[in-house]
Amino acid sequence: MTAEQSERDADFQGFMASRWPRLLRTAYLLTGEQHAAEDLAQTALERAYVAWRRVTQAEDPDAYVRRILINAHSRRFRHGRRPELPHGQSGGTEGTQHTEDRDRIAQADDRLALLPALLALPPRQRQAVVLRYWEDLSVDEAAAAMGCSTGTIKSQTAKALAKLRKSPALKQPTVHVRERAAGKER
Amino acid sequence: MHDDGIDTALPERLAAAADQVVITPVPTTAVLRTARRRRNARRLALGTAALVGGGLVTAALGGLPDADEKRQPTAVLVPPATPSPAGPGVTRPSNAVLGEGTADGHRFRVEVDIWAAAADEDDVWNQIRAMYESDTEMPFEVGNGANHPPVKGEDKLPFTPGKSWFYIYVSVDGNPRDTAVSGRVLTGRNDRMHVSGSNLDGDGNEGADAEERTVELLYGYVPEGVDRAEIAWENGTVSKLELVEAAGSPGRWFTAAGPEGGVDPDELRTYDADGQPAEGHDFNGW
Repeated sequence: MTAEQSERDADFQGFMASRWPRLLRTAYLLTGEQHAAEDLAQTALERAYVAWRRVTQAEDPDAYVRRILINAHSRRFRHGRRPELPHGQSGGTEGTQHTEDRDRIAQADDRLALLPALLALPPRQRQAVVLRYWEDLSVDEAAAAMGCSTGTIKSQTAKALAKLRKSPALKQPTVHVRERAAGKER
Repeated sequence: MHDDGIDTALPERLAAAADQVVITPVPTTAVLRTARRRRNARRLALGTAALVGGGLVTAALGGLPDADEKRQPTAVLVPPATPSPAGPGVTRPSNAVLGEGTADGHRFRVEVDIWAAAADEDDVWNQIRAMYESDTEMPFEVGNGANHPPVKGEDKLPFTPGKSWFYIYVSVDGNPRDTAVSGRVLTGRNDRMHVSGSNLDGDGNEGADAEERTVELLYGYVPEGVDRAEIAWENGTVSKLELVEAAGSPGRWFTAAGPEGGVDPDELRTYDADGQPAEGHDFNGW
């Protein structure tokens, strides 16, 4: 291996180490399952390595890799197959817990309720919601990530939110205020 | 009435959902191993194409695969155009078959419907009703009002007149077609190329060799002025596209299916009538 290749590999490994947690979380929101998320994030990084020269020359390497991730996710959509919901995630449950546990359970129910509703969305709508509300991208940035027009982003987002609002599991959304840094991890 | 609570709470709830994933160690070794293998395979295929083109014999390079062993794109046939009523209508679209073929033992068919632009508001309501009754997805501009489909007198006008719509459909083994992509038919200086795609994976392939039978299916549009077009695949092979007219759109439409093995597209190249390169598309990060 030449010195140039070693340097390239070292650069890429540093990039991969710093981006892995974020990519994995995004992949999890898109796929809903631990192993599928790992597989998707890993695939995106493999493609990023192959295109590493272009990634490093891009104005925004993170945006480039995000586009790779979305494309890899889109490729997994198979005709005639509906996305499967993760086992054990069926939305809120009624329990007989003590009052002091109620907040934690309510929080747990919220987390459990959103993911199945998210996964029930068509892939493009799910991507739009994740990019706009989790990645916190602007309409233009989300359009670039999905390779579509800003009009499509707006419509996919609007349709997704309408479906989420109608989801029985999310009928009474609650907001839990907790200590968390606002904004994005880098 | 909309529940705006879901909107303001969504970032927080998505973050909470995302936190459910276990952050595993970075799979450095696996990523580099697979990526290097992928990169080297691509270089080998492109290098082989160049050598074959130059007529060189490569005895010294020993293990290069024979060019004939390079997987070719999946054949796509365009059936003869069926005579159809003049133009697309507001309540009845024109239809054109972009291509048919077989991948992974399953027959696929790609077609496009074009809905003519509504001339006035009454036309818009008639078109929405016709789309609903034909199980056509509502155009993306149709919002979520009180009714589905929107009803005249109760909901606001779904979209302004003057907009024509396209829908590309894919069907497999004669099953009901699925909407692959849809949008507005743009004309004039807004007329431009677009391309989308998906996997053809008819058996829902699983297992170690699942990727081996997967085929990338592409479909799209080239604007007026494009005389011919082709897709270059990452293994060095090329699909010359048969461009199909669809009544109601100024340009032409196409479909292409890649080589088995999940080979990605590399580039869409178009040429004008003089053979000069026109607008192209680089499938970076596809």
